[in-house]
Amino acid sequence: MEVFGKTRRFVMAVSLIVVLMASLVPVMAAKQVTLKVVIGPDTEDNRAQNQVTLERIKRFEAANPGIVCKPVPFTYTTRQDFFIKQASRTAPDMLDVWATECELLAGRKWIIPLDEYIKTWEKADWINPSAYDPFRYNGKIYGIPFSGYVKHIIFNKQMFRENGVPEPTLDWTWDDFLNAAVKCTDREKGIAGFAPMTRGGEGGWTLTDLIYQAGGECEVYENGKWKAVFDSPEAVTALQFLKDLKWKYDVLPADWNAGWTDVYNIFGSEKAAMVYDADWGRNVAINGQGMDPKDIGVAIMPKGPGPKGRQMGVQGGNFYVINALSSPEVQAAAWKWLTFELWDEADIQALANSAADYRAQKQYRAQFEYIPLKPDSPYVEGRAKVFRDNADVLLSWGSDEFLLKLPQTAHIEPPIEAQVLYAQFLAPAVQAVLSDQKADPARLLNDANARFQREYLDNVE
Amino acid sequence: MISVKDQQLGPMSLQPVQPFGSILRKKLSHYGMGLLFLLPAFAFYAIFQWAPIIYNFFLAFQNFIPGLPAEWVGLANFRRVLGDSLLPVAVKNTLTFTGLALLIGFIVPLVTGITITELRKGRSFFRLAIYMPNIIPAIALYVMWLYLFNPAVGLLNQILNFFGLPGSEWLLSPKTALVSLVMMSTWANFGTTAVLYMASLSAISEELYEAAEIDGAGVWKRIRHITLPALRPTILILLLMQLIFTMQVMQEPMVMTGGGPNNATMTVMYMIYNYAFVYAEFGKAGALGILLFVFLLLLSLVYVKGSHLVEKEVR
Repeated sequence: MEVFGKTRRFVMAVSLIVVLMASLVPVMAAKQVTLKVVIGPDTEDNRAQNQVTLERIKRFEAANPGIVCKPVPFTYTTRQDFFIKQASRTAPDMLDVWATECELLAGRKWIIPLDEYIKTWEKADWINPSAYDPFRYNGKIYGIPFSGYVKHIIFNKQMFRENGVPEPTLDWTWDDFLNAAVKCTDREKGIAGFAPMTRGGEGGWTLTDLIYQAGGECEVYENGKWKAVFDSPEAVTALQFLKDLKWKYDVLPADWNAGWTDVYNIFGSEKAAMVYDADWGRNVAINGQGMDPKDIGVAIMPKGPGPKGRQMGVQGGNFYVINALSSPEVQAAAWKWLTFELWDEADIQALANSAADYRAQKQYRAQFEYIPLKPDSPYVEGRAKVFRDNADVLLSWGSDEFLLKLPQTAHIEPPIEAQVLYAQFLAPAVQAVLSDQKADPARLLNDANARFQREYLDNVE
Repeated sequence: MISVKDQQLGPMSLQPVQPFGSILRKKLSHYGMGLLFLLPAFAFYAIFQWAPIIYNFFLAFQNFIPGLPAEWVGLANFRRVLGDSLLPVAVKNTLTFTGLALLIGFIVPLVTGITITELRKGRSFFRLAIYMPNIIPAIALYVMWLYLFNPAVGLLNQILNFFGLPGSEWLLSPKTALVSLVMMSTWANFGTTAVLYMASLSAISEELYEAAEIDGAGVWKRIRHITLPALRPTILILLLMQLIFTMQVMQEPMVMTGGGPNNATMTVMYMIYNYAFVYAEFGKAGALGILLFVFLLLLSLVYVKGSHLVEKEVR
């Protein structure tokens, strides 16, 4: 009896301990949140930037005990990686995406609206209200802009000098651009005056710039309906100009079938005098190809012909978004990561510290970026000072006049199915005129316009 | 009670019926080890081949967004796919690629295999030489051919110019892009087919050739009356397998041309890829995948019938 009583007490005591331990486990687990954060792929041109990210993770974890960051090598350069990661629920909890992705991501409920977070965010009114526009969907804001761009031209200053071409002025035209391209072209050495992107969606992206410069549009909203308008005379002028660059003036590379990376490799290896760039292209040329930043100049897009011609480049940028598939606790942590050191003193200090990393890696912080903040926000001047103090590695682009004018040349990307428009409708037209001297730009654009209207815009609710 | 019939049939009829469990145990003891060895392969194919194929049938009738519950939409995906203006272009390109690949990629390995077999010396060297392209890594292959096809500095145009011929645009012209891809694909893959032909040729009795030589038959007559008839079953099978394989072309246009210029090298398989992994239209990808599957299934039935013909020939 006594033994039985002792045994029973022992068993009860052990059971109680086990139950207590078991009840602590979810509490302990709940206290720790694992946050999947983006880090760049391990490539040559990302080395320094990745080091900066890892150091930021350390500071974030120290400031937020209970949140553990798990770096996920990922970059939103191609969509399929994101789709696969979403399907397997391994996508980052917070990521940065292109400005054109709002309809895709918000329409498929892959990202969450951020309005409730923004309401309580002390820096919300630092941002230019229009900077949110690319990521407004059904009246809600789905992304925080953190860098923007307006496409412009980067050119090889040395080539211009050697060929006696004056550097572009702030109001140069297509004729000036053509003159520079012709003089810089050297067929024997395999040097092209201008290397446009023509492959895949990038081909359509290039043509869109030219359409805007000629005074045309791709999509307009009329009478409650979206209408495709890239069959206009202005758009035909743009495509004809591209065709003439190849067949009449012969200023394009012999192998004109170039995508995003190809173009900057061509530029960086000094086989092209001019290319279009938004922000990161020069990083490939400088950190990937070893081009001297001092040899790279920037120029506003040239003005198209005729009374409707204008200096215009596609406006885009990157937005921070939060994954809707993450749990609410992780989403809250993602918002903390998103806003951690964003545009504050610590961010400026981190930028200053990053200069040392870039020097150690013998690389440059080369990308061009607009900070989407109002000019009087405290961050802007502090940041400018860091760039001035570390000009050897933190590269700034363009004169004050250039930076003042550039936003005036901005044009948003087509709002509806931009990537489909670029890849399936505009890029084939570009490739057609570059591969066939007899191709008719007007016919090509009429046909593409009608199909895009029928297959996509007519189905928009 | 033992019946008269049982007495007449004898003791065999009195053997007790074995329980199912013991039959199973007996069979397992015979085949169990073999089944065990088959299990990993079966699991691999079940998970990575058959399950995705079966799942695709469901996907084609759904609006699937990765990470979220799927929505049943019936035949909507099929309607959208069949209404895509790019589909007729892709089908035409696929059939053209297949036709060219069969024309060039069928004759070249056959002629090569027969030629090497006819050689008295150096067979081993040439057998190795023609197989070398198969072992080149794909990325090296594509980089090499991009250089070869470069209209300005590529080796092919330099050779043409050396003989006083004009260069070609190769991958940069809609007229020549598809043929260029066929050339590259044939060069990369003909070695395998040629080696298979040579293996079949080695099974032909030497006595037949000796007898033909004694009767005064020249090389061409020997090929026509002995080699080709003997190779017929192999030719039939390889032809059909090549047909099925080339109908699924995607890698070459994707890497070399991006489907251009102006969709001149866009194929059905590449469209499926774009639907799924560029535009996140997984339902449409599934629908087009099923349409391609049905078409290839019909071809496979032809192949199965062809196999029966081969068996009859062997007997």
